[in-house]
Amino acid sequence: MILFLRRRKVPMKNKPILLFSLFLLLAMLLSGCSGVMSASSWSGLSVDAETAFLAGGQFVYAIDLANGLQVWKYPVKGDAKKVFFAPPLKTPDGQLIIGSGGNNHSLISLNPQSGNPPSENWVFDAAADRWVASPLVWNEIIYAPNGDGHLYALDMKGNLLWSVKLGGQLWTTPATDGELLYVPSLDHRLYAVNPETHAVAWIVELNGAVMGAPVVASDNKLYVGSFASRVEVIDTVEKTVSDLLETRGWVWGAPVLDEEMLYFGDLEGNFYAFDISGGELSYPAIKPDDAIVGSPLVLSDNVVVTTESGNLYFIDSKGKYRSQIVDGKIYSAPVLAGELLLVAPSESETLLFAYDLEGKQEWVFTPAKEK
Amino acid sequence: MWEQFIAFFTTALLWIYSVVGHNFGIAIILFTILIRVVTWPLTAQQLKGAQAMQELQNDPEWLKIQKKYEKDKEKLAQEQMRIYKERGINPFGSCLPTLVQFPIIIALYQSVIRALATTPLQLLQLARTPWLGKVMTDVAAIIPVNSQFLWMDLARPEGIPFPAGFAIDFLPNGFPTLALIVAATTYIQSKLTMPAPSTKTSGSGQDQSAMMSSMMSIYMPLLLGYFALTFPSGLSVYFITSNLLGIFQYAIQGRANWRNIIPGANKTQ
Repeated sequence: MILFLRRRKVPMKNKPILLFSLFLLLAMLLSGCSGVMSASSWSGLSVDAETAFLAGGQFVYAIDLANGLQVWKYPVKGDAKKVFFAPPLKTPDGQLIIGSGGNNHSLISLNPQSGNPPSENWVFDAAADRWVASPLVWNEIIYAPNGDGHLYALDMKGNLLWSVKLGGQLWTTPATDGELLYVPSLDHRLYAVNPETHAVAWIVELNGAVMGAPVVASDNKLYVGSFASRVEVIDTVEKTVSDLLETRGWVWGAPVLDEEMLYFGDLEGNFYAFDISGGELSYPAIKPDDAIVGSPLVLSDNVVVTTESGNLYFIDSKGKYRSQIVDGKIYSAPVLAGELLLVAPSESETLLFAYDLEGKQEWVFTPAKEK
Repeated sequence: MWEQFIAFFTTALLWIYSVVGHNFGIAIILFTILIRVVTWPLTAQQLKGAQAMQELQNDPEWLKIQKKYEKDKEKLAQEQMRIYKERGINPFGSCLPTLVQFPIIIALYQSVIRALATTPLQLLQLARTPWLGKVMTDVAAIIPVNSQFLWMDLARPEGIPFPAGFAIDFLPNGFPTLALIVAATTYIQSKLTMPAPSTKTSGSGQDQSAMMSSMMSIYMPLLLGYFALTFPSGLSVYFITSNLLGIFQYAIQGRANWRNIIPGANKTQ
């Protein structure tokens, strides 16, 4: 066989085909390994009273909270250009808004009650980049941040009311104190936008990029976790920035405020419970096991955090904790749905796990494989 | 191993980015120059091989066997191999270095994509690039990378938008300026290094390696032009810089065959 191969010459007429095949191989290597052709990230999860909505790659799933069964899937057939990973947003008037984080840059409104698959109410496709964060709905206006650096304001029918160019890429859901919109950007700035004038009211420079939504406190303060390994405090009256606490790793998820306690984790795997009124940590930072990417979830007796290694931790007010192994890797925040605790892991065939508040598994959701 | 290679490229690229004032386009250009310097021996070997092949085209013995075995392809190939062996010429000497550079292209492409991080997961992976924290004290200050360069977003395919109301389906990003420049510079570079066809042989007498070079000069511009059209424009910046440096290198060494650029010019000799 070897001899045969050695002796046999590639006919002249086949050489162009051989060369072309080599180039094709290079093309496949470039596209296949890049992650650009098919954008991917971790799942986004949200709930209403009866349904969990999971943005899990090329599909968005509606899952019955009572039993974990699929109610519908959108779209019927996957499209590599449409990838969903921002948590779907259920609006007060019953729409479900999802944005594509793929090469298709559509913001889509679904009617979640319209059957399987759900019908589209409208599609907004004037943005130039990905939708990584969920929009904010306030006063019947949808404020949608896009990777192209614009904050788009749409009416509830998807018509563009106005837009404002901020800077960098907007990957974070805006927050509001009832007067201004606060939009962190990956350009290490936080923009305060006046929805009346449709213009930037003021800007503050942060020490690093911010991925989590700002926490609005009642004392004219905003709290953001940043890549500069700290939680930063923005005084919205003085328009100044100061450090609340330097952390051991980058803070990725949004901090969570519960009365006077601010909870957050970092990429080095440390969890912090900071007493704002006392100005110090309630207990020394604890390190359950691995990176904490998602925001914590505050329950009545515990704070729940997920770690990259696929564990769920229930941490009490003294900093003592117990764990529950989930599966895969967990980057997204746990979500509370009535008496259920929902966790959406990555790198797992099971896209959603439901536990009771004690950590006992109630059901799992594994989508049927595509034919 | 491959992952380490990509991590090394990404770290080097981001270090340059941090040094040149957070301009990713400039970082890619400087990194390309660095790669050209490192791969200098490969390019030199490529040039040497091309030169040897060019000289062989007018060698009397070479021309003699072309004529003698014009109708016996197998025998002609055997004789050609004998001459290659006797003269110490590697018939793929000008082609193999190009192929060896493919992994570098792929690694650079992947490191550009990694550095530009277009999803949260990619950004998280970038933050954890090995060595990054050791090479730079303040990684958070440079992440995420600013992808704007001139009129381009280096994270996306380039195109100058068409006037309002005018659209071409297969050019969704607009007029592909960079793709055309990539194709043109690739064509010029490959033509400059192509051995001139022998003045004494033609048609069926043309040797296989010249045919291969000729095919490369057609496929490469088309393929790289397609890449520029489809992939993030950061890769196009690499291609153009690399091509221009190659052309410059051939020109200063006096090895550039400028007549090859004009189709049919050599036939009028």
